[in-house]
Amino acid sequence: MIGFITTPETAALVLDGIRAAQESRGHDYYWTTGAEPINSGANKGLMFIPASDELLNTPLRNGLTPRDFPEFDQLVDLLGGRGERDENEPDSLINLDEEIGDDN
Amino acid sequence: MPKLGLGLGVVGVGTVSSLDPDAAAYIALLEGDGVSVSGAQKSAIDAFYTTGKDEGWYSKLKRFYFPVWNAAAPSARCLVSGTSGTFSGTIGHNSGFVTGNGTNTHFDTGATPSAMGIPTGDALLLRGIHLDNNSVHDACGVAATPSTQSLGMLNFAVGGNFGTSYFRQPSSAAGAQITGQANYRGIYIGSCTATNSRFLLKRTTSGTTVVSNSATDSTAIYDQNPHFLARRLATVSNRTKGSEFAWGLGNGLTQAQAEDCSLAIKTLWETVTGLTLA
Repeated sequence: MIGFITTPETAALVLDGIRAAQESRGHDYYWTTGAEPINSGANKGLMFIPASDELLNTPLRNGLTPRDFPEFDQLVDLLGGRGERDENEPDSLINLDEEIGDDN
Repeated sequence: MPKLGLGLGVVGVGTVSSLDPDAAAYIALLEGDGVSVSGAQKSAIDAFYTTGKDEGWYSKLKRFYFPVWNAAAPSARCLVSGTSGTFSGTIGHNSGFVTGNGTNTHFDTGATPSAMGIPTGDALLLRGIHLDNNSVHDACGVAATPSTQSLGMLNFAVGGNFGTSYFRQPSSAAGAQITGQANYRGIYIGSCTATNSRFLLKRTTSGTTVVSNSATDSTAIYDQNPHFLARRLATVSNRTKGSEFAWGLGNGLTQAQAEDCSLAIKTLWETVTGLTLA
């Protein structure tokens, strides 16, 4: 999975910024990248914010994608810039304390 | 009284003046999002509202999402409350359905069951499944933050138990389940009322299947925001890879109302999208 690995504090700032970009325009809060805690490996304790091209090209409304918002570059800069996107193993997001084995 | 609270003034006079006011308000919101709604689609939306009000099930719905519009904002809109939920993660927005990626995707309804007016013993869950996926990630239903089930579950088993769908609200002891399914494609309504035993209804093109459980579940509902496309948010193996086109929450329906409601959703989806229910 491609995205940004960052601190919980920065992740919260980014998610707040995504929400504000919608609500400040009078829209409902209808889309976010989300952020997942990294539960194992070298980055344990940090957060993963997905930022694949597919995600960044999500159709939002009126033909716009997240890239079309002025706030997009500001939030990416907050995360270190587009060149800082990382590959993260999905397994690192699994929290073994929470994983529940049944499939019911 | 229109629940959406949006008057006809936002809609062009002469275009939709004969529509149900809630239908007109929803269509206006879609068009504001950039959706080009055809005349046939407007008629289908209008029929959904008018049929639901005539048949008595519309007033039981607290949330109904119809994520078919190939964009996040219109697909996040609730047809009943006028609010929006929030898509999170890499969700595929398609013409006719949305698809989870099985890892980091979910849809947050943005309100707790109590805020929606859904108590224990008087609840429904609704899901429309276009395509399923027999992987570990498909064991999903209605999720809550952080780890427990919320309102209850309308889940689809994977692996060795593939073919079984469950409705629980929220205790596992009093569930209704449909077994032996070749796939999960269809419209599901799980419903429970204090006087009407819980049941799980599945509608496909060939008709409906209903399984009941008369046990009363007095377990308190977990009062956290219900989510779709995921069962437990803290567990990435509990996110779906399936493709879905309808989500609903509300108060319990009678079996006859669930039959009517599922048929109205089928008609709405097939007319609006041009797709055919399995």
